[in-house]
Amino acid sequence: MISMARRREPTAELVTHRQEAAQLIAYLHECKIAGIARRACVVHLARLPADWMRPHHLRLARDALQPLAHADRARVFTLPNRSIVSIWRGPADGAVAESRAAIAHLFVDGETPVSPDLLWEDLEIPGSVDRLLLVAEQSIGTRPPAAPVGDGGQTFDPATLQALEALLTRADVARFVRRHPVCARGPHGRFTVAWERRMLSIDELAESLTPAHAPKTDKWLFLRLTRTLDRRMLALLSAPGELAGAGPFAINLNVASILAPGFLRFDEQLPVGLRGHVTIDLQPADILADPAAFLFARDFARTRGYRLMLSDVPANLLPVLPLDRLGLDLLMLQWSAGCTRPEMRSELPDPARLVLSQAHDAEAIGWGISVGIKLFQGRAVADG
Amino acid sequence: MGAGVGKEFNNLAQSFGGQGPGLQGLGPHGLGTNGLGAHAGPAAALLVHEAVMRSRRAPAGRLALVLHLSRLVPPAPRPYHVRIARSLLQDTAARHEGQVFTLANADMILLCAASGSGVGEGMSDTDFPPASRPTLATDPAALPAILLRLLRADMKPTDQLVSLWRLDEAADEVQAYTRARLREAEGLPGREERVPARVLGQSTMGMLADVDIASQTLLADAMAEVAHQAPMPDIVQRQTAILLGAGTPGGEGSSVLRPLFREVGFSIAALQARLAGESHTGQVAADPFLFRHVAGRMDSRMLRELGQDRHPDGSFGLLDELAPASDAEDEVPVPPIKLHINLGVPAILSEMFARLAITCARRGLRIGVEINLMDAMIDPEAFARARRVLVEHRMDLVLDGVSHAAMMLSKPWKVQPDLLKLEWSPRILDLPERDAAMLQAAITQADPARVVLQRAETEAALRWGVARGIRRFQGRHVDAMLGASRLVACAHAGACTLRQCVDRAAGTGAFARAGCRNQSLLRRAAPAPASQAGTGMGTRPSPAGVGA
Repeated sequence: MISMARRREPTAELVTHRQEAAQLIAYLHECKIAGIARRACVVHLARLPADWMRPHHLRLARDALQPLAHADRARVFTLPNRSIVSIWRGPADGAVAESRAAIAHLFVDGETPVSPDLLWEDLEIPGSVDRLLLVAEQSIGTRPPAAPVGDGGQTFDPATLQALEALLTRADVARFVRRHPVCARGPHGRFTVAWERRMLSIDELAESLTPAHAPKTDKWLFLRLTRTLDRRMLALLSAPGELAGAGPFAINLNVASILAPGFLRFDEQLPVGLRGHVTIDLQPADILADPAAFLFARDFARTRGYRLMLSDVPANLLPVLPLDRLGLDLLMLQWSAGCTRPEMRSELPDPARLVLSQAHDAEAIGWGISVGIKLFQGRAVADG
Repeated sequence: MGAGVGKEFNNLAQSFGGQGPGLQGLGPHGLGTNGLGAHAGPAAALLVHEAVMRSRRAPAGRLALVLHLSRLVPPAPRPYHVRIARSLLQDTAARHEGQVFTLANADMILLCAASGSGVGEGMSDTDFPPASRPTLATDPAALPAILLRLLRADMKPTDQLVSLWRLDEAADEVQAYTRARLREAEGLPGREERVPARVLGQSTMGMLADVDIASQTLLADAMAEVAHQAPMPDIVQRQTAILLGAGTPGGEGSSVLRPLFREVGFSIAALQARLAGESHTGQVAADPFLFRHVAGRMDSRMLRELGQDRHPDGSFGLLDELAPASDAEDEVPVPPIKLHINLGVPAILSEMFARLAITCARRGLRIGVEINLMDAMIDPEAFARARRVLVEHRMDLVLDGVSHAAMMLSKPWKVQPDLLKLEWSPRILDLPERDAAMLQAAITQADPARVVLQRAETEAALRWGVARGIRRFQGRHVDAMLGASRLVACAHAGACTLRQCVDRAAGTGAFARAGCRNQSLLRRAAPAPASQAGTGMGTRPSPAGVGA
């Protein structure tokens, strides 16, 4: 009887911790939606060797967090992997320091020379809510570690990719085409559509064709999938009459797709009036995957009269990808708080060659205008 | 060989043509399908020869343009070279009463009228400034410049890639060329033209065909499975990088050849050998995206094996095998060589990595993590987090897989790696002057002291690197240098060949090193500096009697 009880105990504990993880996830979503501000810390006991994750270690760790239990609206969640998340409202610097020191005292010594920084992570909600969600979801195995690493199953694997690619060759994808305007700011501050980005809504497409899988969970397989999507998009645009009366537009293509037969067919079908008014968006990782092919594709596309844009460039990649070295015409910079760094201005190329994407609010537009950007994409300008 | 997941990829990608989607064979305008007179294959030699003969009857105003794709540097011509070049030539042929022929050696010949509209149809000047105004390839006279611009990355600057002849002035030259191609097609050696054996000796269309994308995905799965199930020593190799010192052999100060770090990674060749039953295994490596996916899945195996202190049977784990913290045989303590492992960003952010970091810290092992440039590009935010993790653990960040082209197109050193691994390619020696200067400037900006020239397979690579201030090298030539230095110092060298010594140094299991009677020296990679030589470790001070 005793032995049975002992066997059951960890299982019961695990169930409890899974429930706590689920509660944490629900709480975090609530904070995210409502914009609730909280502070949080994660004590990564999961990073300790197995010998240091016994029940009494867990109890000691929770005791060490007691000072934080007295903070305003304090809540503590123990996750299935034994890591602990504590969330509270407002400043509690003294309690944080006390708890952190206690944790370091308990677990950082000569035998486990792990730095306190590794065990303790300070976070803010809602700013770091996604990071906390990742910690919680990984602990219960609902999300793989951001990519196919770990022991858990994958949400998107090569077999699924192959199945989806096969489905895509037959599926009617026309209904998944979306258009996002890129708008130019005129002299009187009015925004007018400069061109439309035409793209397939991959989320909707995947939801329709393989609802159990999320292609974006594996970035490399997703990139590979985009080649198939390129073929379908090019076939759609090459259909007779599809581009009759169309205005300037942009399409997102892989380097390999520019060099594929489908692009040649599209190029043949391109109405005379549109030549010189089509922009091809390229991705940084795709360009560097095969520089020789990129150089060839770049010069070929330019020979045929296409403009080339490096798209989806976050602020921290800007110094790595100088537009002039790449020999491209335009760069689409993703708006983020990182754009407001003081050194950012010196890293920007000629603003006339920049498009600011994800410009959803006045702050983004204001920053863009302040640095001389005239082209924007996002909800803030979508309505003209 | 080449330890590390990222190392063998480019060679394979080049071998297999590299690109995914596309058609098999002839492209959108296959033989006789477009009514424009496109011809391909061995029969084209006869057809083009006859066409030239006919053109000689009324040569006025006719041109012959030969695009010598056979002169491109391998792995070119790749399928897209052929496809796009043919498209451009056919465009011109359609507007200038012409015909295009694709010959068995991949060369193309355009016979057409010299004059025509020569104007890009339907061009609009409204959007493009004059400098970037697009030019459509309709004027035969404009074609050579366009083709040279497109293909310059895949040709030697000294090679003539395009020949343009007026038939009324140089019909003999054109005919000599076509006659040579005809002789080749008939199995006779051509006198006028050198045709690479690599083209003639195999099915040209097969070589130029795109890879079969349908089977790639399943092969990727199979390769990842093998990487998870095979015994680690069978599929993992190691390679030591060196720092070339300024001293002289046996002299005072720094050793001329000092081991810098030892990289450990999966051998793609070994994995493919295990998949030998599957056809076209190289296609996985040929697709950069699939390959990075597979590499990511291998990461978990590597982390699991390295993080394991001891096996259930009590034997030491892989970490001990790869990076012995101390060597009981040695009288002179020498710090262990730093271990480098290849990992993707998600792996570095995983709990398994955190556990490995703790294990390494506890045992005083120094680790460097090599991240492929593509991994840094695909998710910059995650890369920044991974970078912080490495800083926290005091581990080196090594930016891996930086080709010379990537070095010129971007500024990879701006991600602030501790080391940047520049891939050597013989193509570097053929770079046009402007590109060579650009690469030199990039290395200077990156700081030569942070650059490791990897895949240094030849003496030319070392010489090129040294001339540019690079002192850190990794590759087969370095393996041989290290092997030779061991043979010079080893008392048992008479029983071994250099090749054996090099192969044993690359092995990661006891079996791979069987036969070596100086395991201590083998683990060190190179003899101790001169001041310590002869004091122990079974070495000898004199190089006399080194085995062959």
